[in-house]
Amino acid sequence: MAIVLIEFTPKIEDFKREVAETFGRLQRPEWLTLDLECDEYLALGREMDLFLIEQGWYVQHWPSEYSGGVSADSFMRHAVLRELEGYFRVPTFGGHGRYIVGPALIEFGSDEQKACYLPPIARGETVCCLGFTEPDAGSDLAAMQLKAERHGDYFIANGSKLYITYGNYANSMLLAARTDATAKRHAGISLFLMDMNLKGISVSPLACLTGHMVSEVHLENVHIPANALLGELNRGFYHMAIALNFERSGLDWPAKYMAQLEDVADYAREAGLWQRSSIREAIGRLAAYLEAWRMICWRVVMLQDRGAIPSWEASMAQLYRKDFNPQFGRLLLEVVGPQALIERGEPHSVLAGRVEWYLRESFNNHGQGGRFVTRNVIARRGLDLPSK
Amino acid sequence: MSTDTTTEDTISMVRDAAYAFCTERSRRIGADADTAAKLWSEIAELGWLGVSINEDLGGSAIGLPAAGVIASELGRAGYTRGYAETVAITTALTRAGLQTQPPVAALIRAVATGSIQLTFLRAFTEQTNDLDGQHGLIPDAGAERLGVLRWSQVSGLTLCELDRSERNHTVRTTSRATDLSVRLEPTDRGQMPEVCSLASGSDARLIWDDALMLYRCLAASQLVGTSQAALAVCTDYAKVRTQFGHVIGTYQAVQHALVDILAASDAAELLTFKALSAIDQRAPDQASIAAAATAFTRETAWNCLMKTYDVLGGVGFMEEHPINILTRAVLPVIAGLGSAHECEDSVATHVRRGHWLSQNQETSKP
Repeated sequence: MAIVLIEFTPKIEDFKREVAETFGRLQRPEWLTLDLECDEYLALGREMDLFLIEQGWYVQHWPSEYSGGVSADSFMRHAVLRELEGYFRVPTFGGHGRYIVGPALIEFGSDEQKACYLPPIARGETVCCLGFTEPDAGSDLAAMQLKAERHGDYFIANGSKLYITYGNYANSMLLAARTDATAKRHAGISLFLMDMNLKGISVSPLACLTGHMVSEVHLENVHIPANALLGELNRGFYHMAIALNFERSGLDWPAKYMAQLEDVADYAREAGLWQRSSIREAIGRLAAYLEAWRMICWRVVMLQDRGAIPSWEASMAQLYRKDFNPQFGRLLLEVVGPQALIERGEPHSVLAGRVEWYLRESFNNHGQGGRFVTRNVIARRGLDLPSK
Repeated sequence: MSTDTTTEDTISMVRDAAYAFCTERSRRIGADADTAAKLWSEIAELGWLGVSINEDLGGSAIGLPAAGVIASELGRAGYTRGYAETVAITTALTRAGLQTQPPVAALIRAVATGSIQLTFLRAFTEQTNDLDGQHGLIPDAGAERLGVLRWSQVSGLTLCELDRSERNHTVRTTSRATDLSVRLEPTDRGQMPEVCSLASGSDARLIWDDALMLYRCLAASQLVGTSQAALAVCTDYAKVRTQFGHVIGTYQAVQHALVDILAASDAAELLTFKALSAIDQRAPDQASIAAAATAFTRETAWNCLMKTYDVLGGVGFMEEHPINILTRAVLPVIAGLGSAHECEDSVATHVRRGHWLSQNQETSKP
């Protein structure tokens, strides 16, 4: 494979400085201390979405004709922004719309769909969710059962989607449904941009270990207009793979964890623990890991910037995240000890209870396939190892 | 596309050349002393010892990322002797501007021509009397002359050139190449004729630290090459070896071990190149990225090596198996990088609020 050097032009370095200064100025303690599902936090997210729109940063990775960036390095600027959003832990609300649904519309959507849906996403007015996972189709998405059958001008959908992030807020869902039960697993699936207010949709929120809400979404005889079909009929699985590819670097993750690790290092210094070599080493080991992970993420961006489609390289960025989480959780227990268990608002909670939340978040390791599935993907695509 | 790939194209060409060179000479690597000397001379002729030396002093000035590529390819071939140390020390001297001093300029010319190898003493940890000097190992790559860089608060930065008798003190080691077990005089016991003073005071310490940082990154590049070579050997084996009725590459446990090696060696490669590029450009974050690259690569090179033995089983333990040759090349490098404790502690010193950003800019978080 060709050598990839992670280097930035002076213009990109300048942009990075500008964004960091801006977020540094705007950052408020509430970004780090509020319950992630409380109204106040959600309002902060909305506020930051609007700020990013005002700055022209919100959808700068989109083509200019859809309100996107106008400079030649818009994609790199977007990557820098994404990384710094993670580092400053900026609350934003429109992630799926900006990063996945919007680019999918640009790629597969009809002119009518683009005109209808892109402007409100770019204005932050549409909250999108992704309807892919089902009770019996998690890592194996091609096993999905939710059916959508054509009846005149409508597809009538029946079935359930599970663990849907933003499901309880979204007004639009990128739905994957089986439209040809006779076709092979991957071949009979289609994508729809479904209005969440349609009759027959019910949403049941479920709380996660982190306090985030995900939802189970039931569809009972939901009449989806035929013009909501996104892309080609029965090509949805492949469209879905491409759609998820738009935002695969995951640059915000190592950045967010670096900020969290700095929190822990600060705590260790203030608590007089820094003199313990075991604690310094443990923090140093994870910091080196984060730098390595960051390089893996930037490689994905560099490949995309050159027009390549990262495959296993993007899965590797996922793998680094999944392998980091357990290490970070263990570090928290080792450095902070029993106080790591004290929740926000209680006496003696550490870093206003953030450490307790970090500890719970270290189990958030299942998204887009767990550690085993991710390794399986890399084994096939990165090393060309046989499956059977 | 908004990134400039000119540098990548250049170092890709260097890598191709280094790969071809190493492939052609792979049988000679690890052979006798005369062959080692010839190999060193050929490396010099290609300009690879002078990557950071200007052309007026006989160098090729192609930059540190290119040196990293060369080190990596040498590592892939199991050649880990002398290159990283020599390039690191020469680069540190030129970065400090010492090449304007005639003795240092002469030394640098000698490096570029391959007539001298520069290195550090890998000091023994066993208790020695300070008055007795320093004992340690030195890898001898076979150049005509061999100089050891040292630093002390009293004597500053010095280069001690070994004489013929000292170069006879060979000792058998895991590397199976020529290693010297030597005792160097205490640095503060006057100036011996063969000792050249390079710098004093705080400058001396800065150059010493710079040389060590450079060495660790280039050594890490060598480890990247060995890990990638080990992965290639194991992957090929996993695709053809059948056990329990199936090719072992179909077993998830084997696949996952190989994926772990790929993930580690890929990240180590990206990170060491990033570090060498940052050092080349004197970026404000050079020290922290170099420390991270060293710590990460040191740990993962060891893990990768161990996993290869898991995959290969008994055949990997055979003396002439390529993995054995790589193992003998890797261990001296890992030992030369210092302990895991030192590497990780070094990274930790850089972790503080806002530092990750302030590496490249002055902004820090509130």
